[in-house]
Amino acid sequence: MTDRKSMSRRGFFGITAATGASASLLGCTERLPRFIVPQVVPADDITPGVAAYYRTVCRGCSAGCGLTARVREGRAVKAEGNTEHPLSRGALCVRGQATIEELYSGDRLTTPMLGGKPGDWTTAQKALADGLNAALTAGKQIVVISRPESGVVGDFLRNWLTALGQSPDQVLNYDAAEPAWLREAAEATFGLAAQPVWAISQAKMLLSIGSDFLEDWGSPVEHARDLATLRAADGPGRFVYAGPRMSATAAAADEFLPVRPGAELAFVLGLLHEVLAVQPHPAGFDDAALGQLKDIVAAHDPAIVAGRGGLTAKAVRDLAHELLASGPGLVIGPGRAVAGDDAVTLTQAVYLLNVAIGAYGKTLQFFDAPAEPWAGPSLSLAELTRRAKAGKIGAVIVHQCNPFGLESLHPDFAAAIAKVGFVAVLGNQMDETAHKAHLVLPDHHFLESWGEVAPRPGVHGLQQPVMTPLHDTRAAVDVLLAAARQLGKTTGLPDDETFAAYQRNRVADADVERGGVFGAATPRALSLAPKALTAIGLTKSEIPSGTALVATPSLRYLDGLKPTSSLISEVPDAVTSIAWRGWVEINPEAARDQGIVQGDVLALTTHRGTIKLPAFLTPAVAREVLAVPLGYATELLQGAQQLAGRLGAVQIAKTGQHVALPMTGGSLDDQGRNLAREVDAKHPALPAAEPVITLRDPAEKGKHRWALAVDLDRCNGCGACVAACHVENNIPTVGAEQVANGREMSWIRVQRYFTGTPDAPRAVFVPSMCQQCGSAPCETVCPSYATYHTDDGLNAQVYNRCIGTRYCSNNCPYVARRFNWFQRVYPAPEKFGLNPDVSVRERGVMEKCTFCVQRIRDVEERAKLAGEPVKDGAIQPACAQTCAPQAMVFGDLNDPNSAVAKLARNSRAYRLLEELGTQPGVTYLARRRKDNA
Amino acid sequence: MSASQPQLPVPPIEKDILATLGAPGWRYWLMLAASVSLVVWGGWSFAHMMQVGMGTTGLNSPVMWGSLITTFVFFIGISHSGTLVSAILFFTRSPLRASIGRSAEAMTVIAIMTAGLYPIIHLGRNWLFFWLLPYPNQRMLWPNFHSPLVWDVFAITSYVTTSALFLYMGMLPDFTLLARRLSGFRRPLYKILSLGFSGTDSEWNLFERAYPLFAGIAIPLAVSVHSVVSWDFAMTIMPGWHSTIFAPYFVAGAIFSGLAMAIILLAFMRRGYKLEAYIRLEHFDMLAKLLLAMSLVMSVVYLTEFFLAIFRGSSAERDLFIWRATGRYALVYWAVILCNCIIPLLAFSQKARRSVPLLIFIAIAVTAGMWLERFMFIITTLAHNYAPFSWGFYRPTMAEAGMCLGGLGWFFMLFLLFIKIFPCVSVAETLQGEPATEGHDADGAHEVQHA
Repeated sequence: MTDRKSMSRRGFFGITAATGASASLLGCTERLPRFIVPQVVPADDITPGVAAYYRTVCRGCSAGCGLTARVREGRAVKAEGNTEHPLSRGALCVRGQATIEELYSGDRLTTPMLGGKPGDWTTAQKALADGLNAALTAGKQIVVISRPESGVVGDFLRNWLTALGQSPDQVLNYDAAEPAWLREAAEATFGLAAQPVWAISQAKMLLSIGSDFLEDWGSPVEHARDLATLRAADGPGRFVYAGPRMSATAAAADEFLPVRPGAELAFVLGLLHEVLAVQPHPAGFDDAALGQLKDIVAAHDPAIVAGRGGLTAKAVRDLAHELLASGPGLVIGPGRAVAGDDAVTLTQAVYLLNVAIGAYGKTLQFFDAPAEPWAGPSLSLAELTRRAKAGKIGAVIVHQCNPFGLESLHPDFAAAIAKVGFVAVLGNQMDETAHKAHLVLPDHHFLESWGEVAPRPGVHGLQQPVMTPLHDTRAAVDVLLAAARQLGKTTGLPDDETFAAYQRNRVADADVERGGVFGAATPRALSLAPKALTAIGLTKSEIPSGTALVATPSLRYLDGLKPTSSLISEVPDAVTSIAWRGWVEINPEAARDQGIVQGDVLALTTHRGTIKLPAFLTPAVAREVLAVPLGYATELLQGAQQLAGRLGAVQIAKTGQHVALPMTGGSLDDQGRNLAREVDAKHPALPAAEPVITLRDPAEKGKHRWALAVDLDRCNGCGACVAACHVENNIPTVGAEQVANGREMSWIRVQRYFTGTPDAPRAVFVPSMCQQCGSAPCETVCPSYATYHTDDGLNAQVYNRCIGTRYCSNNCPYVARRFNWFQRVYPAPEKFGLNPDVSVRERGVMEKCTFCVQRIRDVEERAKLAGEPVKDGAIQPACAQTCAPQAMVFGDLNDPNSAVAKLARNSRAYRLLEELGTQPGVTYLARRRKDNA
Repeated sequence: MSASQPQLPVPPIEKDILATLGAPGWRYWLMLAASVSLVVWGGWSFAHMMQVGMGTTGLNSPVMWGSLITTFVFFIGISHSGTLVSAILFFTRSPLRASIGRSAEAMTVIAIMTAGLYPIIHLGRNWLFFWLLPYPNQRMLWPNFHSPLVWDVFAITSYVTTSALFLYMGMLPDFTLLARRLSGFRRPLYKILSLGFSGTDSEWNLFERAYPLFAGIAIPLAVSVHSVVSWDFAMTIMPGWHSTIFAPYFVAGAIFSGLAMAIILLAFMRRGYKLEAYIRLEHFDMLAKLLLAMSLVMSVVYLTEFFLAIFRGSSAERDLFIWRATGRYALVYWAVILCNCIIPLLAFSQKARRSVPLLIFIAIAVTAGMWLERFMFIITTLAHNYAPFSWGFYRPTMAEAGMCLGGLGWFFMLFLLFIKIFPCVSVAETLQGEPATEGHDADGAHEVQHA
């Protein structure tokens, strides 16, 4: 009673205000990113509604592209490419775009797990120290299995092992996706165990031996841009792909040579034969080596090879002549889809072919001192397995990798590790490895932590946290450091309180702002290893008859694991347009012979096992080839040790099951409707379009007309634009069932249209978004003005006015509109990743591409504040921004000097279905066909 | 039977018609129960869709309109013949009108009340359906008068208003009669409904002058409403929809399906209420002839459409029509041809025209065929559109079946309630026509006894 009296009304408000204010202050300090060097806006200058940009490095794969994170109110909401970074140059791939989704994923680990049960950090740190101590006391080894870490983290791991009295080479760099045959063959041929660097942009003629370098391990973003540069040349700059299946990379080629699986070595040696016939004394070989080489290739006359590989002798000869004539050429490969048991030998043959055509040192580069992860002392998987079996290992620390995810690849390894007394995992998710670990310690996401990534000499990316960690996670380095301190073994380890403080003192602000230290490096000069040619001579290439199965790589399941990200799963495969699940590609004629229809589940049996996948009928594979996506065929790699895609002969059986494939594509070709157009590169001009008679006023009266140009010559169908659009515009993912129902929400769709003939197919990718028509059919039919025309040529969509008649979609000849069939709910922490500039749509309303109107308005308003006109190129929609081959150009069509207006006047320019009088705002540039002259 | 008791103070026609308003038998209850069950199923499906989202339907991108819009067009079609036929019969002073006019008009109003549900059910955010109406609002927006959907709103509301008034006005004399004949709680009801009409000469005089006015307005409206509905499709740029033939095609189709539905309803009413004396076989004969004529018109329309598609020079349109006949929906296409063009040819035989079961069979075939026809042309255009990469497939779900059949249940439920509450044959008009049709009456009764 007295208490109530003593609390006056004023007092109550006073206390409430004080607690409220202090609570919100705490909230602010918690959320504000600390210890961050901003690129443009200083940290203490973060204002609500204004984005800050921080440069860091993408860890979506091991390529090490530069990433710029767009941060709003202390939360990263969009990953963009770092324009300063020599690999990405402002672009990112699907995986890079999906890192934001991973950051806010509800699947992330938030607390330490002890023996499968959640625990607190004090106990977890003690358990780690105890586990290590037990190993040390028992005199057993401590081993670190880590994703390839170069720079500071890699150094720390070795120093940490040293401090614990271990050998620093007890680190296993685990990267299941790395094509080891390229490294092993380099050691055999050139005496250097390193991965090659393909300098595609410097080549004039490119031949890929089944290498899907645009969609596999390596540096796909860099390669995509370089390939566009190579093909952009008016004269030469041809790209030929020889392989078993028309992948997206093969579709990007000027010519696709179907080579029977297993015939690749014969094919390469046949090329070498012809090269040596034309150029008997290539530089780089001494007489002895040359003689030996000539002996080897003598048996591989193109005439003989042609018969075996399914090619004509003329095609092989022409190719060899072209490689020699248009120097420097480059032969890339072999890729995963053609890598089999003879992969190392085949690679050696490819390297020798490169030497013979003078590519070595120019377009095929090796570096003397390649940075981590491929150099330096490291443990091999086989050695680790041997030691674990022998009981020599007492503790295993797994850092940011999932070696048990591909247990079938190396079953011995999994069995051996199961015997180790203490396994601790430092990672982000409860993956297969974490489930088997004794202790799981949640690490920061890479966007929350420091690091360094140096994929090659001259490229040293700096990784910095762009936001305060979302969850109660700890940096892996800090956790290991704390354990070492608890054990009292800190010799040679940093003295700083945290890893962040340590790294912050090491690196210069300017370097962090740039995103790294970038310079040039000199490639290694040519020197052939003494026994470079021996292995090839001994190999007899057996070309299998019957149907062969190949597994094809993709950025969507780079390391052979099925994607855990729903965004990556939702972006469909470029060639098949299937999302979310696996399939087997079969030639329509072969399917007809065997009575197989699309969606029939087939049992595929090889000597290693059986998998069941639904059939997809496509001319992308020849009659004697079946292709499956690698991520869905790992069961067929039982004991294969590496992710190689040539799976050998296969038996097909129908299971009687039938499924609806979750695919976004309907027709395989454009039905002769001039949607996917091609021109001869020698005369790159389309016939003028017939003028459309219309009663509607075609003129845009506004100051601007925002427009997009898409160069089909550059697009390779990678789908990064699709992913970027999803993240930028808060577009929900819908899952396999709804994709199969035709309810994918993506605003941009990469249409794959097969051209050519069924026997010699080509494919053109036509990215299709709202065409922002000048005379839009959708606008007139909407009864509630939810869609209307803006002064600057956009078809605006006002979600709040939409009542969902769906009439606009029915009248859209481009089918660019999407409807919210269900209400999408974003629970925490997913909702923190939403872009605050874009409305989250309610169920029952229509949505579509807006040309990223929020970005247009942002740039316009800034220009207005500065009193300047909007500069051409200042506005970039998310799709154009992330496009590695720079296929998309955005700008003002009313400005005759803008890049987009020039492209719209290009002789290859055309607009989709312009005969309907829609006056589309998107211009397409026909794909150029470069035939062999 | 009726002819044998001429001395009774109450004319037999009145007695027979009054009998239809008496206590219902078990057949009536059964039919009503069946209809209400369908309505409950439809209501449940709709409620579930409201809760979860339009995703419970089979609709997708590119097929954003499906069975629900089909059912909308179907019921608009059904609504068609009623008022139109009744008005035309009125002007031609046809004896047929007295017997079928009332139920045809009721069918119109009820069918529109059913059809009107679907555009609202079908909205993504149907709780905001009133945004389609022009009224001063906070959004400071009129509806978009360019949009054929807004035209629909006006066309349909005009049509339903006129049809309802036409129906109601025709019933005025009957209400007066019923208020006189019936007792109990219904008496004041009919008294109020009769609006004080007491049958004086001056009232009849006014009535006879006003009634043709409504009939006159109803005829052009009937033509306009279905033309406007056809423009929902014809005003788009889509292959298979964008065609000037659509307005007459829809009007013809509507009359066709409306006639079929009228035959079905009349046949059941005739049987159920023993109205053989008033709804006679020659009436069915006449309806069947009309149905046959409309079937032939539809065949010509289909051929014309196909011809135009093939020779118009648009590859998308040509591909679409070939696909309609050969693609994944070919079965539907050929079912339409069978139901709408081939089965009605039976009506060339007079025997078929005068056989009620056979006519019911033809009418049901036509009704189904016309639903399938709308389904076919809506779906195929969307599924096989201009952009081949986006071609898709649509299959209605159980939720849609519930909502479509729920509408059918709703239609029959309202009709069953109508015939219990209101006189389903115009007593006044029948009485007016008595002397003129006495001979026929006897013939008719004779025939019924033979049948």
